[in-house]
Amino acid sequence: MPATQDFSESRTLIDDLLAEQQTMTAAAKFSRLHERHQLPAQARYYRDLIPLERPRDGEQYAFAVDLDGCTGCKACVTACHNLNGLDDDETWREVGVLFGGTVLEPVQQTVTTACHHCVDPACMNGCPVLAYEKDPVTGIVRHLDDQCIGCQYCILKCPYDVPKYSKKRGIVRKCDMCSSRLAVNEAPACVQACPNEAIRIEVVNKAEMVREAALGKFLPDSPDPAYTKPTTLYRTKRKFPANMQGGDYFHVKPEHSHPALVVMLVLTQLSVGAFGMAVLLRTVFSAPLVARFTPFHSLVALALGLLALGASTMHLGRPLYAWRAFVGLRTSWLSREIMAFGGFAALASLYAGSFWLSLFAKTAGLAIPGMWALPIAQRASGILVVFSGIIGIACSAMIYHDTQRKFWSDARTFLKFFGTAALLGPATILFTMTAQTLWFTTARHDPAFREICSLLAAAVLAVSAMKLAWELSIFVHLRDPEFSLMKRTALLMRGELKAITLARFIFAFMGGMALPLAVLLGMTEPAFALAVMPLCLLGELLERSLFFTAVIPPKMPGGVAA
Amino acid sequence: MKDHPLIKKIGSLIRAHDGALTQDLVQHPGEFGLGKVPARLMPDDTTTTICGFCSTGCGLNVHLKNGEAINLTPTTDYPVNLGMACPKGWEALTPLRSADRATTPYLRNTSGTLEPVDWDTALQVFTVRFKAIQDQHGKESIAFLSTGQICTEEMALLGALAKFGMGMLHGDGNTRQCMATAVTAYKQSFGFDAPPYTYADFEESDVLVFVGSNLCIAHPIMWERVCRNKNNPEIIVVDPRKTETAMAATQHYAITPKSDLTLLYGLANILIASGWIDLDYIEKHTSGFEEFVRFVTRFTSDTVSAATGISVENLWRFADTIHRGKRVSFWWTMGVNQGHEATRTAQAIINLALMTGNLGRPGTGANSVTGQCNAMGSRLFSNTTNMLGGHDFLNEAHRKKVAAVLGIDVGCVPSQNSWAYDQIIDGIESDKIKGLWIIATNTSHSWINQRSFNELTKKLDFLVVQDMYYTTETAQRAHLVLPAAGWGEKEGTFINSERRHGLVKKVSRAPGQALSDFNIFKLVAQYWGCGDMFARWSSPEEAFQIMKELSRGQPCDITGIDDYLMLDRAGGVQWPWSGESTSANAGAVNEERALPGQERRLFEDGAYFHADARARFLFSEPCEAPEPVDDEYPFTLLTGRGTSSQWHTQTRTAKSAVLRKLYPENAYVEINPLDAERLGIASGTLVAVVSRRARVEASAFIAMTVQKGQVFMPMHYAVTNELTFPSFDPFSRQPNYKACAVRVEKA
Repeated sequence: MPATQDFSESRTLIDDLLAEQQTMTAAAKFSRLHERHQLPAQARYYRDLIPLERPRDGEQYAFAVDLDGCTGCKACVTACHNLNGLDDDETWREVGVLFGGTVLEPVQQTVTTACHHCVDPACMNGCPVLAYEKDPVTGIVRHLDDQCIGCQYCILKCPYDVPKYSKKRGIVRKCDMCSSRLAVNEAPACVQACPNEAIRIEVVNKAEMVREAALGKFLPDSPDPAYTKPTTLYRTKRKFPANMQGGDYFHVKPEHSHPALVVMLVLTQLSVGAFGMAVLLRTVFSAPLVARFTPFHSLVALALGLLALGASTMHLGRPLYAWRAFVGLRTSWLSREIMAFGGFAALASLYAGSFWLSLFAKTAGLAIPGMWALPIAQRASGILVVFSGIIGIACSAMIYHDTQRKFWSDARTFLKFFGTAALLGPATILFTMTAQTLWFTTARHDPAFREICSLLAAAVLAVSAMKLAWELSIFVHLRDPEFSLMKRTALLMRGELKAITLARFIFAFMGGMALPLAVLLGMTEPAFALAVMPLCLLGELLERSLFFTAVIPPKMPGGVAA
Repeated sequence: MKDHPLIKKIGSLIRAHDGALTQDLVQHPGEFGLGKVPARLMPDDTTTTICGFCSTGCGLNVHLKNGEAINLTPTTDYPVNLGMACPKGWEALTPLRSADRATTPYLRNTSGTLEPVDWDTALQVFTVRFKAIQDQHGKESIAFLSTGQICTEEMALLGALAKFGMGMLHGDGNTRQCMATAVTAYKQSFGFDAPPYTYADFEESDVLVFVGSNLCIAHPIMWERVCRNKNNPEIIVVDPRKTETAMAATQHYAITPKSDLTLLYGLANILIASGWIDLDYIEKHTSGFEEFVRFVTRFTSDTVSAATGISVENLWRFADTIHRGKRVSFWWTMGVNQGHEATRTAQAIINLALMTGNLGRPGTGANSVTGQCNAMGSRLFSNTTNMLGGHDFLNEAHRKKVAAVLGIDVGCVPSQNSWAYDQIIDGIESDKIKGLWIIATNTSHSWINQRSFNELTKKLDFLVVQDMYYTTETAQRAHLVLPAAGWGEKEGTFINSERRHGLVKKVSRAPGQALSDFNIFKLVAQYWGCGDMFARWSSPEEAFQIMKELSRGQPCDITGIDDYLMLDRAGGVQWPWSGESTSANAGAVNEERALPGQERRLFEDGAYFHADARARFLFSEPCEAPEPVDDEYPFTLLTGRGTSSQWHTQTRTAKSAVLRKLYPENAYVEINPLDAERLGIASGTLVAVVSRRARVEASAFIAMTVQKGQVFMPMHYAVTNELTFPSFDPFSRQPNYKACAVRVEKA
């Protein structure tokens, strides 16, 4: 080792070089060349790319994209990321690509896209806490980060996949057209950074944008602009062939499963269904037997309902601010749902509490004045509980229907949600009654009990059959000649989501059809009746998970997906 | 009432317009000419540097806080990029912070895993093992593979150390994979490896011809310069695929793969036969034209049309466009360089420029667009193919000059040429090479027919990999990994595509024990026992002074550049710059201590670097592609750049979460819908791509932009180079990545 002796001293070349490596030199050596001048030097390139004047009445700012200049370099995405100081994996702009034409005359077109600062922003309309505002002068759709409760409903509402959820902050964030830059006549980051000057800010007439949207004028293979009236202007001198498709057109992937929402939806519907069934039983059967069951029915229904509402807060990024939800009542179905279920929970607590109160009074031999009025009050409040629950479920359904996603729209969500209530309601009552007979054994041989059980089993069987048939009908779309949205959902359920889909139908068949049939056929073993509800519940939870994962959200054309 | 503080407080609780989350995104004026920046990332200083990805050589304005980089923006005033950058440039700082940085040397232990060791151990092992191999198998049995990704000063020190200090004969760089063809073509045609252009030529042409170049994606900032062209230019793209650039062109010629040489000869024939040539220029400044005329007559429009798939009418339209252009510039990139007859193809382009007098004037030129950030540095100063400073190992006078400048014994300087990259790898197979030192390149991913190289590494007695990451495919095969500081963590210069020396600065701390390549080479010299020989190389800037001396009197003379400060002040300096008023220094600002003009081109006087000052017409008969398609392998596999956010083997670009979002995660193969239908392949399904070398899986992407009978795979996914066929241009020995035979089947 010839060099060894050179390094016997305490400080070696290695030490010196390691120390030198850590010494920063650039600032000291060179920075004096770079004046601390104030003016943004870059202005010389973007001066012509932003409007000279503020919008007037009926006007707003909009992105204008020169598609002939966009060549897919994606500098806009990274510039936005860096100049806005976004999180490591956070981007507010995307670049997709459209392919089309013919084999002899192929066409591709890259497309830069960000928030379209819509005339009628769906994100803003859906927000339960008014965390969005559309600037009255500039028309920029801004997100109020500190107002956001992290419900992510705007993500479902926006057809352009614009708001992005930040898990570590518990809120969504989105493009604000660099409004603070525009306010001082600086260009937004993307405008500053496009090497080909393909992005600019223009003043547009809102009424004109609404007219264009109604005509469907926007960009090929993009969501229908009539929904939110996006303002971005996509311009090209070319004429696109009719078959332009996004680079990710054939790429279907499962969406987020939102487990807290799955639990919340299924259990609220169970709770409403169970209360409904309990009230119905009390109305139809005046037998004292039913009265014996009611306190336990209502307790279970209430407990599961409250559990559902608890679960819903797990979905929120900032649950401590959930109380703000009342402010969005005027436009947001989510606000309305929260209000309706809030009312439902209060009424249901009173209703269930009243039975336990009278039970307690009876057991303790206490005479409470006015007790005579209790049955009347109970009957009235029972109807109110069910009524508020139905409104809650309808609001739930409207939340999803209102996103205009095909798999969730029209009657689909209503049928599913009310179907769940109609299924799990009788199933839960069947469960609680049968469970109660484990210690209240005399009831087991009461013919009324048997009759009620048979009725409940028949109801479960009938609702299950209809609901499953309806759900299975999605697979008809596998035969669609086009790559329709419903076909994509069906493909997902048959493909990546196969295991969950299979499990969903197996549980539903066992719990909703095979076991109720056994009960109907007179198998008196309590285990049969007891197993109906858990299996049906599992099946519904899986159905609801598929509801979220198998939906195909609308979006702008994406990049090549692999 | 409304203004009552309590009411206000309640109001803001119900509807919060401000707070910590809002403040998180607030912007403040950044000063230093920056415009607004995130308040969290307010700089207290800024400095410029040059981007370390591609050869465009963009200036980046680094935002500093306490001397360290916290953010960056493209430099507004830099003459290359004029305030713009591509996604890689914008994200240049992110890969430095990756968790898989090598922060200490790693040595493979007896159980076969890489184990952290200290520098002293690593260097002792390095020296002992390599010397033992040399003792047993001869000095030439260890070799090095260098790179176009480190600073010129580092390349020069590595080349000098390895060849003059450690006695190696064979060393090459990954520039063999990208620029060797352009080097050879220019050397033979012009007498020196001299890309003649400056980026302003993009703006000043009225006709731009791009051959095998997807500039929009591979060099977006050069495309920016094309977009700034005010002459409403004709833009011609020759590419088998309808790329982004082909879409932006006014004429696209989708030729049959590897028919470019025939096409170019056919165009020459039309131009000559029609008298659309500049006889005066040809007579004054070229030689070999008569032979060339005789040669190209056989390339009739009909035969060329049959070979290229371009109609006769379109061939004439192409030629006519060149003829009508007053300032025609020709540009080529890897579609030409990475071919089996690449040098002649590049020269066929040069021939077109020469015969039409499109050289030495604004908006003209036969212009090779380079790949890596410092490919040109490697070409001139890596001491591999050329001796330091663009000198010739076979030339005794050159050897003496270099030895004198370095103050070393001329006996240390080899008088033979080095093997090329592929020959070094062949040397492993034939047991001539037993030790290999790989610096800042990822051979295990990028080498053509990658599996064969990966098999051969097992034959090496000792493999050292010096890299920023211990996770690269190549580092994972090494016996010893040396942790290198990356771009931004050290000082030095790069030379870009238009011959511009630009300054790279140290703006970020290297993690752990990582050292700049320059410092690692100094340590190696010390441990090897030849430290004294390189005592003058005390710092990168001292090395730069040595490089200046080496360049004296050469076409790439840079003796007029005083120091790093001058480079910084001038916005980079294109070679040559001797500071004297020569024609090659044209464009100089006439001041006392003149700064060179920012856009200078070569050959304005028509004087080329051959002894007779004439450029040569060079040509050969086109030959068939080395692996033609057949019944078993009916598709031609094209490879190339996927997106602008991916860089080569992705050792760095894959480290940025943002860049990762901008490209497809998994390997994919583009296939024409007619072929897909015939094979029953649906878009998005997994297919197998099979060549005689390998069978790999990729996701099918059905696209009309790729022609029937061809498929395209981006090079960034490791599977692609399992398929490629190892053939090489006979002159440049550059691998032919662009065409091999494959079949596609359901996975």
